[in-house]
Amino acid sequence: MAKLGDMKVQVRRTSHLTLRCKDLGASRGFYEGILNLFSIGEDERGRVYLAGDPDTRIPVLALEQAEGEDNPTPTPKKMYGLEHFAMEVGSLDQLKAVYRRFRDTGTAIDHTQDHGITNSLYFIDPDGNLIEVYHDVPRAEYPEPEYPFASYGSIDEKLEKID
Amino acid sequence: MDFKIRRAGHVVLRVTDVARAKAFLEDVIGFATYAQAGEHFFFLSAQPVSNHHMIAVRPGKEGERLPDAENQIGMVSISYEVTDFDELARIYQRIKAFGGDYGARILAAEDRGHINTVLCEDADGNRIEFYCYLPEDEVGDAAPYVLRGSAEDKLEAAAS
Repeated sequence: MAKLGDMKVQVRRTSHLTLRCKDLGASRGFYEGILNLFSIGEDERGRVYLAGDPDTRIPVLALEQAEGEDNPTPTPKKMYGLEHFAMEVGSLDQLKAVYRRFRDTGTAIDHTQDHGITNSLYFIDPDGNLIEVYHDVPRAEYPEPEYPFASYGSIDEKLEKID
Repeated sequence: MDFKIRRAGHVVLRVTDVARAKAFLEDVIGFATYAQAGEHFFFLSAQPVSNHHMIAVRPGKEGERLPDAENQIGMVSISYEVTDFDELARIYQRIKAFGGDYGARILAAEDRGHINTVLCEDADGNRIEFYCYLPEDEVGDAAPYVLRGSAEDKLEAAAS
């Protein structure tokens, strides 16, 4: 009988979140149009796989169409389960570009947050899911290296500033 | 300047039993806890150099609704990539052998063209998927993501 300590395993990377959508076309349009995602594949159920680069094979989201009626809908932070999902951009300037995209298209931002380890922008997607876009703060710049995960308030002003 | 989503980072789970959820992710899946916020909010990673957290667990509130992954609109599952088929087989074997101690179980194991997948469910009904890419000679002309059949026999054979 195998023991728990045998056969060590190590996950390589976070891949995609699968979202069931009220209107797959609308959700896909939102993620392609607002977050610059591209379709990289589709399975036999019509589930569409999206990535930040059309040439990668590593998806960040998979979208599928809901069937039936009266399906429970998300109430972020007021239900058990998957609470929020986070996707990364490469720099503060890119996060500012995300911020501008939301502003320019009249898309609501839920809130922004300096987390110490990340600068983060949160939004509610067309199906009511809480989604985060962030960029990593270099470790040398962590405000409190002993307690790196924290909340230091809104970064709206920082994101509005164009250098 | 424009922007590009470069990768998926993490997901946060609100769970009914933080100790059990954390123990499942650590003991069975191989994540390790690298930070916490307050007493009950834990941040875990399997690649701490490149990603400070890949999953986090925190308590939900009593009375909140539980996941209904079969029917609900919204988040259905979170997927993690593993290095190769042998690693996927080890994860499969570990969940099968020990997941029950944490209220977790395997739901499906599928061959989907260029990937093989193992889908499991934790004690709260959260769905976590693991997958690996297959070598090109095993993919052949199969369409990416399209179901070819069960991967269970292959996973069982690799694990034995």
